[in-house]
Amino acid sequence: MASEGGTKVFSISIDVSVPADMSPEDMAQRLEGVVAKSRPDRVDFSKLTIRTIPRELGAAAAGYDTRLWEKATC
Amino acid sequence: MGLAPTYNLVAHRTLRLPEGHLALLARQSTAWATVPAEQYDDLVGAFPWRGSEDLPASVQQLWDAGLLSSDGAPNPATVRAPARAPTSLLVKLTGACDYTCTYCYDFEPSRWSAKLQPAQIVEAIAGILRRSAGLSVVFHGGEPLLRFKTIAEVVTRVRSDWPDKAIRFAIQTNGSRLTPEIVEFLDANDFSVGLSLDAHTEAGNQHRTVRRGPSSLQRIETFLARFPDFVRRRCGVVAVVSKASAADLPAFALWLQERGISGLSLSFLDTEGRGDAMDDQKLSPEEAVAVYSDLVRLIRNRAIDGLAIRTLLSRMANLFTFTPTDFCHRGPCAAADEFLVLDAEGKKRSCDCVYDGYFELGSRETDEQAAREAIRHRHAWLEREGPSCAKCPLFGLCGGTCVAKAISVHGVPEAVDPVGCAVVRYFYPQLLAEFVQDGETPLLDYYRRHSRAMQDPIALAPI
Repeated sequence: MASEGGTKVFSISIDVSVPADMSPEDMAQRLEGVVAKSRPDRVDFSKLTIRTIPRELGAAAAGYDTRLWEKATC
Repeated sequence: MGLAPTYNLVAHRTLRLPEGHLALLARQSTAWATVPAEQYDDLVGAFPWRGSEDLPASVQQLWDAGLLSSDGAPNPATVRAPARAPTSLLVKLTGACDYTCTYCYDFEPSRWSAKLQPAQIVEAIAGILRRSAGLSVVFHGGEPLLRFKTIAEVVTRVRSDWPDKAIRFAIQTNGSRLTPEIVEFLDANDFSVGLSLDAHTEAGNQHRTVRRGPSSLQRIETFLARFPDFVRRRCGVVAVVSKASAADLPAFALWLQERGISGLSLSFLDTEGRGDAMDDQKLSPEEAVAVYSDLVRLIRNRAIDGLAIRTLLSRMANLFTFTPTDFCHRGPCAAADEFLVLDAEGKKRSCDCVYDGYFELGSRETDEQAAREAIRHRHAWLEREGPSCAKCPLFGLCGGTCVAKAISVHGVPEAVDPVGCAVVRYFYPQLLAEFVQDGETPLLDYYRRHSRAMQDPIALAPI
């Protein structure tokens, strides 16, 4: 790792053995998997406490009918 | 085999909440979630994330919550698609009224004698129903019951012409013309009825003036006494909030609840129409927040329960859905797609809140598209560089305030309504704070109860 100004620069070299007839897409996926596993600061998602309210997808009623007794604008 | 998608957090801002929590709030939707503040850096550092295995639970949560994009695209279930046709048609039957309310935003001498003819209304409805499965038709004015014969003719004709369409009717009236015959008609045709009343006191209704005879309050009281069951089943109340009525609002809400009226909607006075010079009656942002605060207090101490205060519920709903249904409390507002006004002079508009050329849709489809696009353009501009909105964490929930009110205050659409902005900045932090704090959740519970009454139950639990 080198440091240039305030920026860290990582140089990574990877050796991957793959069959000679492997497709470029499969090759990319293998490479991606190797890089992902080597990520030094990979977050442990299980330690995150994310909360929200489960959403209703597509309200049952819509438009003015959900706004009964209102004039149609605010 | 394709590449695994890359997940990224969508554009969002954060809002600090009590007890060390942080809310992540999307910019382009109503998506939100909370996280302990100390975990936020880890969360941000986890993305972009790519993997071919099953999504980790937290990634799945964020995806379901609408806070992630996949290869640049948001979760489609969390994005509101524009309506392809109007869902609501507001019919301004006449510019005339038997009241002389001093604040009437709709009053314009040149429109006073204007009247829509039944054929114009039927054709406007048909134009929408030819390309949609249903429509909500709202009769408005002026005072629409001055034209009851036209209403009856239109309803009968539309029911006959379109038997397979889902058509709902509503009316906004001062109630002065409600007779047994009209009540029977409205009941038989499943109308929703909005009654205009500002307070339970004469002082609070001082701007709702009549030409002669009983006061506007006395007339409504007479109607309530005469048709109590009809009122409970079909009617709600719309109140204009001015300096004359604001102080009485909590007591008014309780008064309505005691009488079994199920809905109250608030509209902060705009200095438009006959009320053009009523700046001294318009609430300041701080006074509007005080109104919200009073009502929130009544809900928190359970004094208000059965009465659905629509103004609050519609904003609360944005925390519970990705597809807000309220026309005004979202961005872009319904003027961008699903709201159509046929005014008393036969012109089509995208909104009736302010009679400004900005809302005229013209007679050609391209005119309408351009006018509606302007609403979307304003929303995008506010999100990008709006002075109040660009850095506001609540923009996704708020939508940038009412464009009509912004025009009323500033004269231009590229602005925000200061009252709307203030109440949003007050109200959503209250709701989100309640969500993260241990203990009772009276505001969210209030929404849940009324939501159940309106539609399918909505669960309330951490994911």
